[in-house]
Amino acid sequence: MAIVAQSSKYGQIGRTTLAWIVGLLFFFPIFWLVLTSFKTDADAVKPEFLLFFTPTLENYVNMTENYDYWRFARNSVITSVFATVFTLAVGIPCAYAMAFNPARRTKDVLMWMLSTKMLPAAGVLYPMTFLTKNILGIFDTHFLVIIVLSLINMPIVIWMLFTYFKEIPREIIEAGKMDGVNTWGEIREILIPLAWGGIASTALLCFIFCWNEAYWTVRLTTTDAATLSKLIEGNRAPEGLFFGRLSAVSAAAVGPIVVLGWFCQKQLVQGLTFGAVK
Amino acid sequence: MSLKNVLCTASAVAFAATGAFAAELTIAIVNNGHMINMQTVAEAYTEETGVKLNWVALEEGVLREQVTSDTATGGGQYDVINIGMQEAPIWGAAGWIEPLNFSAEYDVEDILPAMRAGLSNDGTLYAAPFYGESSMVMYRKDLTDAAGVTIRDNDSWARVKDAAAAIHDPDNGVYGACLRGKPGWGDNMAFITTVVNSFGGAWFDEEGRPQLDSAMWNEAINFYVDLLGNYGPPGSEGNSFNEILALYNEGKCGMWIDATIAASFLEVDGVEYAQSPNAGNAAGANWLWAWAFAIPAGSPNAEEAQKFIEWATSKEYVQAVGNHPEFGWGSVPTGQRASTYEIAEFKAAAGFAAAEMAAIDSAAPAASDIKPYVGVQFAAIPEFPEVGSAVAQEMAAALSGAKSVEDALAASQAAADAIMREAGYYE
Amino acid sequence: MANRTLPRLLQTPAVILLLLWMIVPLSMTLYFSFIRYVLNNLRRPEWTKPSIDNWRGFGNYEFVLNNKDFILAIQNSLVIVGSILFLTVILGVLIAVLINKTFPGQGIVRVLLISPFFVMPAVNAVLWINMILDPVLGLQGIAVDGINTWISGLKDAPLVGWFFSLWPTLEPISFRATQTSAIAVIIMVTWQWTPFAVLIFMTSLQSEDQQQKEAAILDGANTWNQFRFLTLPHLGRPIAIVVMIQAIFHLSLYAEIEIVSRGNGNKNLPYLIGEFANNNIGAASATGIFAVILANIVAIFLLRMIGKTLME
Repeated sequence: MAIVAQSSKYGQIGRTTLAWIVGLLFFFPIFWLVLTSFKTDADAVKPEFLLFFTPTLENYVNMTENYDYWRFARNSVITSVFATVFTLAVGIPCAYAMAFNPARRTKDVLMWMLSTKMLPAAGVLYPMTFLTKNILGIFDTHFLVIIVLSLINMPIVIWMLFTYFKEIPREIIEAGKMDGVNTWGEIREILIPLAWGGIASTALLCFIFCWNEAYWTVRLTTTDAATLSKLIEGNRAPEGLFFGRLSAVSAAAVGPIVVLGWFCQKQLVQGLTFGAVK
Repeated sequence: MSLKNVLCTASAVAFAATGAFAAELTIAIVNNGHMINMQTVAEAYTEETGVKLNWVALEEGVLREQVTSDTATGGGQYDVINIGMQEAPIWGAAGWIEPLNFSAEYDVEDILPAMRAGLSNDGTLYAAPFYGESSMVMYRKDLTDAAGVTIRDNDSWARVKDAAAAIHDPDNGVYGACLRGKPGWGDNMAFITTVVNSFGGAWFDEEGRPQLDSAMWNEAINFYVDLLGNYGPPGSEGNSFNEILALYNEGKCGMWIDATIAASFLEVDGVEYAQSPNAGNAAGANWLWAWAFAIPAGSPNAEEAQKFIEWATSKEYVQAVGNHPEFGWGSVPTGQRASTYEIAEFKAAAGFAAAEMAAIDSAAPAASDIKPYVGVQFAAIPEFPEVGSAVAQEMAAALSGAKSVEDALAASQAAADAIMREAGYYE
Repeated sequence: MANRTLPRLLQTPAVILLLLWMIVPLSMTLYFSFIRYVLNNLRRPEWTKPSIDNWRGFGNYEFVLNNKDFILAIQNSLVIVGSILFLTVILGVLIAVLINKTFPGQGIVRVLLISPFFVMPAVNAVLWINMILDPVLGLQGIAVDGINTWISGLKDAPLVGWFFSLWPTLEPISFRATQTSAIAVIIMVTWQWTPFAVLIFMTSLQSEDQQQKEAAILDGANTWNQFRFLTLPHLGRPIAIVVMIQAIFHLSLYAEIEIVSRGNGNKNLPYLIGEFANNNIGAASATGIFAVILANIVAIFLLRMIGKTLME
């Protein structure tokens, strides 16, 4: 400790200042977005109202009255929550089996799963529309959006869980077996409590990715299951001046997830180890 | 309140929620001012007819993609769709949308002839215009006066350029000419095509062979790049309607040639209007566009949809907006009906009315000797969006200075040729 | 017996779901890529229904290969992904090391830093290109204008005026131009994903062996050597993870490219697919197959490089 204290006081002040500058720089665009959301469309492009202006709630009122913000927000919450739950429900058993009973091919299977994420979505837009609308009849339903969000995120979720589970000493699981606990019991009583940090941060990350998904959620929905990303797509370039309007919609769309991120950041930092803790 | 009362109220509400609506229509609209206003005006329609309206407001490009994917796969998601003049005739020909048949009191003849022509295929109307527009010059009289220049109706491009040069004053934040440069067949190419038309050029010949290697295109694009590159604002390759509107209202533009609808958004003093410049071509140099309503083939609610369209594009709708406490005569949709331009309140509220009407009337969408296809700033063929986007990117590259005009045109011609060949127009 | 079956059974749902998710679209794409299939063609209506009668072999592939932007799209895919990876890893390591030791307000700075990661891609793009980078109305334009006015004011100042009169007038940069649009995309994605890298590196630094570090300090190792020989090797695995996950996400960038420049000077394969998909499904599908091939090449390449660290 004594040695650390020797490091110059100026160094400490310099580092603190630099850290704050970097933090503020990274946050600035979001601050700017929120600030602009309280300006009228006309004021938003006027240099004289850069920082000092008469704040207005007009954009937020317009957003809730004319654009049905709450319906989009509700759909975002429903689809993201259920997709995260479903992904974990399928992903945890899979990762558990891969981590504790690896076969020769396990690593190949994992790599193959990750590679499905690289398939270009745009190429199958029409087939997918046709399939879900004309054949399966599930177009524009929560069910479809939840399934698609789950499938998109499943590879990363399984891979993350796999890396956490591998860190758990095998003996603990084996001990459970000795006590006559069945597989379901092993997962519920031993695995989940032990890997709780990892599972929680995986769930958070999955939720964030679901919330922000914007290709399929925009294109496989009409009204009933349309999420906030569709609200953004409708508003990113409306006719006329729009910086104020757009900022309000954007702030309201990313706000919930940013605040959630703030509250859970400790959890995220502790959980995103990817099995690196030896 | 007793429990019984609560239960009664609850069941009444539930009944109202499920049983009150005779039908439900899902309507896809482009996120423009007139359509957003319509959502409010249409509350009266729902009250009167009991038809519930679900609105899906989307950005233009996303709207096109969504509506195309739905319609091409047999429809079903939307009962009424907002489409433009490029789509209406070809979607009608492909059987994607239903022909429209209106009752006598609707007065189809009142719809401006240019609009009817542009939205029909083989004489059948497939979409009804909600609002229409042409293009015109919007210039700042105070600036031209100060510089001692004038801009006339159908002026020559050379005089327009001189005027732009005279009022160009970047040190004081005023740019001579603000024009579209953002790539997109409906963005920079809408304006550029009118320039090309006025120089006597066209997209295709009778066989569908692209004409981008012609002298007219060369002359027109050189002129465009020269004008906008020298007297336009920085970053013009990213500017389209919205961006320029913001610049204009900030007092940064000396002149702007764009959609007539822009005039209703202008908040600057001293704006005058003039008909689009023309290098001497009889086909004219101003575009023609309409946002119209159509019914996708296979809509289970085609009858209700037809009734809704009849209401939304009627004379009564114009009156409803004009007399609406929230909107008024400055906000009525224009460019669709001759009768709109006869309303005294509208003429008093909209200083641009006469110029807009003249511009729409002089636009010539029909095929002619000069351009053997339907459409002014586009060609009404299914392949055009692909050709238009490819060329649009090359034009933006020429404007950015990343390519010479000659190289950009050569690349455009090659790309357009490949697409037309692929589509089977010629071997 | 049970030892083998049960693990398989547990993996089955995930494997089957992902298999369907891959096979169904992929086989459709593959089929369409070998036939003539357009949404609308008034001259050849028979091409508008997917049918084996419209078989055309490698015709779609040939058409795509001859597209003016095919090479550009592949080059750009790699340039954009490569640049973003490079920048996020460098910035991520530096920032993680900077904020790892406690300092006043560490918690707040951490919250500020990770926020961009939660922003939707489309919001990210419109925010940057319209409100920050726009050469006239954005902060860039306003800042350049302000600096120019300020300098021209100083030119009249006594004594030092001659010095400022030598200064050139600044020109704002258009980030939607052919030459710069890729840079704009790289800036905005780097802004969004650097926090992700910081998060992962920070987590990893917290598990760094402090005893080893103190021993190194006692041996007289300077800060640079500590970083070079202790911290960096420790970060090897997290770097591999950051590279892997980001490569997967950034190969399919779409919204940013569309919003910044509509493909002017900056395209990747998914964007090219989107352009074809407006009408020519056959060509879009062939491009899709090329994209799958490219993704697999990148995946193999990444695996060679970092796969070992990743899977251990």
